[in-house]
Amino acid sequence: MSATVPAFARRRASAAGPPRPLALAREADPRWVRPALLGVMAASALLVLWGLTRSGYSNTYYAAAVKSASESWKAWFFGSLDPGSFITVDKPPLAIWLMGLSARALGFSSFSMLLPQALCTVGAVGLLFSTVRRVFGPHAGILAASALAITPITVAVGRVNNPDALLVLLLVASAWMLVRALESGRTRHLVLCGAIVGLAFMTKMLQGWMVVPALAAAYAVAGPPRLLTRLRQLAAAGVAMVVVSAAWPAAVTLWPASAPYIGGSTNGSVWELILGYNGFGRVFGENGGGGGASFGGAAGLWRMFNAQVGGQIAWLLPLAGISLVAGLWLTRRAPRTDLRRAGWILFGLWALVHVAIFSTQQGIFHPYYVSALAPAVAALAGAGGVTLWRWAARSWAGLAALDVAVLATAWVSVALLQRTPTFAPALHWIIPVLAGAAVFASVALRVPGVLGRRGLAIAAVAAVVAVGAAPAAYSVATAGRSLDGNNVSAGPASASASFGGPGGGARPTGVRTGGSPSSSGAAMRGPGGGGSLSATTIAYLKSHQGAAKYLVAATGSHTTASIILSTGEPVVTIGGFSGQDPAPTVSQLAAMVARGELRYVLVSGGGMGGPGGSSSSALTTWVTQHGTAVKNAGVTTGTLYEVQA
Amino acid sequence: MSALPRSRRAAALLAAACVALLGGYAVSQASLPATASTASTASGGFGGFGGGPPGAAQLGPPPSAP
Repeated sequence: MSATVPAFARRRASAAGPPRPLALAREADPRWVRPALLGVMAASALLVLWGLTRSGYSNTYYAAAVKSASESWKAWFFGSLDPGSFITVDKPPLAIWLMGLSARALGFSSFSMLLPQALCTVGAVGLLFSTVRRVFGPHAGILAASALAITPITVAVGRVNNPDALLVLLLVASAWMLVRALESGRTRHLVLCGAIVGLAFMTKMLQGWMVVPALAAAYAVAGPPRLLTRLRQLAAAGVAMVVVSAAWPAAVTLWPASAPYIGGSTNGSVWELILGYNGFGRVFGENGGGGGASFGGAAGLWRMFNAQVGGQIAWLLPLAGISLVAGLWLTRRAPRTDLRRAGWILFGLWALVHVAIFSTQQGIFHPYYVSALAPAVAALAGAGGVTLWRWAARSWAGLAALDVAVLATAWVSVALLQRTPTFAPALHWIIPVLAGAAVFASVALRVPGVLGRRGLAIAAVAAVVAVGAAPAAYSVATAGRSLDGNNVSAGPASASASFGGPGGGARPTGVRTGGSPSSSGAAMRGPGGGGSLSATTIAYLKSHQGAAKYLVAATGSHTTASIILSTGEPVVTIGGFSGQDPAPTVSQLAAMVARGELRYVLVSGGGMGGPGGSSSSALTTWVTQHGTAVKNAGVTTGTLYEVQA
Repeated sequence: MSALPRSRRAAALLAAACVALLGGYAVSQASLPATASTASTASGGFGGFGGGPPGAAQLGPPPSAP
């Protein structure tokens, strides 16, 4: 070992022996650990892979980008919505890169697109086991991995093409690397941790950085070196994080040739997208953030338990919260470098920061964002279950904490189930009975000779089932139904219906299935069924496209995504996802027409849609002045114009 | 931990049974406050762009990006 390695690291390395395996059991682990881990991962795989294509293309906005990425390397690099790279999606492209590569390797289909997210979820479950086991031991690791695997929103984001499953994996990976740094004190591990957070940024921009306070605080408190060294190491990790985070935005900014408009921005700048629309706009409700009452319910103290969010994540929050308090209390006199206290700080701050931001967020907040909270809650619940059990065996206060945690968690489970009274009605009495049985049998922990080992086994099994049955049932229900990637919601269909799903139930069927969308003449519809072009119109456009680069221009991805998915042709999506982005301008549209890149523009009955106001009106005016209405193209709503500059 | 006298054990069991019964009953009566007002806001705000008839292109933008 190098002489530059600090003494504490040499001590730890010599004590630890050969390098530890990544995820599978250590030699010191009990025999049951490896099969248990494989069982948990198999269950996770079943939940995310079973009937994976039942959601079809899921979020057609991202599906169109994946198809484009499978056809054009430029579209792949930028995360463009269409293969002509007119405009990008509203997120950085790391998740699109994975899905695009999968589509290139296996051919574009629902399965090849969704597979990477499913594998990310299974990987996150395995990596969370490894992380928690390093800190709290194998029992806690198995419980934490199980808790993550059965968290409904974890299953949901693992079955759609939103970037959140990759984000979850990267967040868990950053925690794993941080724990390695806590063990070794090496700068290398901390820098790698920062780089992984940078990749999380490349997946969902500033949301990827929300874990940073937890990572930094855990190492600042418990890192092995002295304080100044720790601060220097953290600074190095911060530099690595910023460099990796900024790599893609810098490349986009410095791109020498024509680059697509950055979707979601107000001026085409990726930096504006980072800080505004995907950044502070989400927190403060500016830059298109809209009202907080959309999607995730009103901001406030109890948002995590409301009708929209509760069924996604709230199941284990009581156990996680009580565990965090108990864990910090029990380690209050531990040495500064105590790994367990560092673990409580790491996962506790991770959870608290996410809950605080999600609960107060005034801008766009979708319930599925809480998937980034799930690993921390699962880790706290898993570690807490073991910690409270052991505390209960030596203290009446510990027994009280354990029983309160079980009862409170079961209480929340039943309360959440009450919102879907027709779903698994048996659980409404099974959970109270098991929670009571667990509390009764737990007395065996403190009173020798009462109930014996059988009593302890009953307490353990009853407690686990009482707190885990409801989220597990919700997860199975999630795996058994089609999910709308536009606003992913876990749980039974009745849970979504209770707070209104996208489109109010007018969801299209038979169109967004695996493989190519139907071309049988049925109307193709985008997210929520808002926009569509008939197969007749598509055929007309293809036969009259000539040398034009773009098949057609239309407003919003709810119209164009299905066209891109069915044809694979470049399409100008006016205004990006929502039709509100200021692209193209009238002069840009005129220039495209003048260059022969565009011949057809679809105008709805109400104009160009989009942001309203002067720009869309100007586009509509220009198109109607420079175009000729096409009468025989099968357009049923709106007007198709053939335009000339 | 030393073994407790039989009477203490019986008392402990009785106390545990009482706590278990009360706890189980409380769990069975669990309910969280309804959030109907926000729910209807979410539904109404979002439902607009999904309810269109087939073929109804460009009915207007969906209200929020992913």
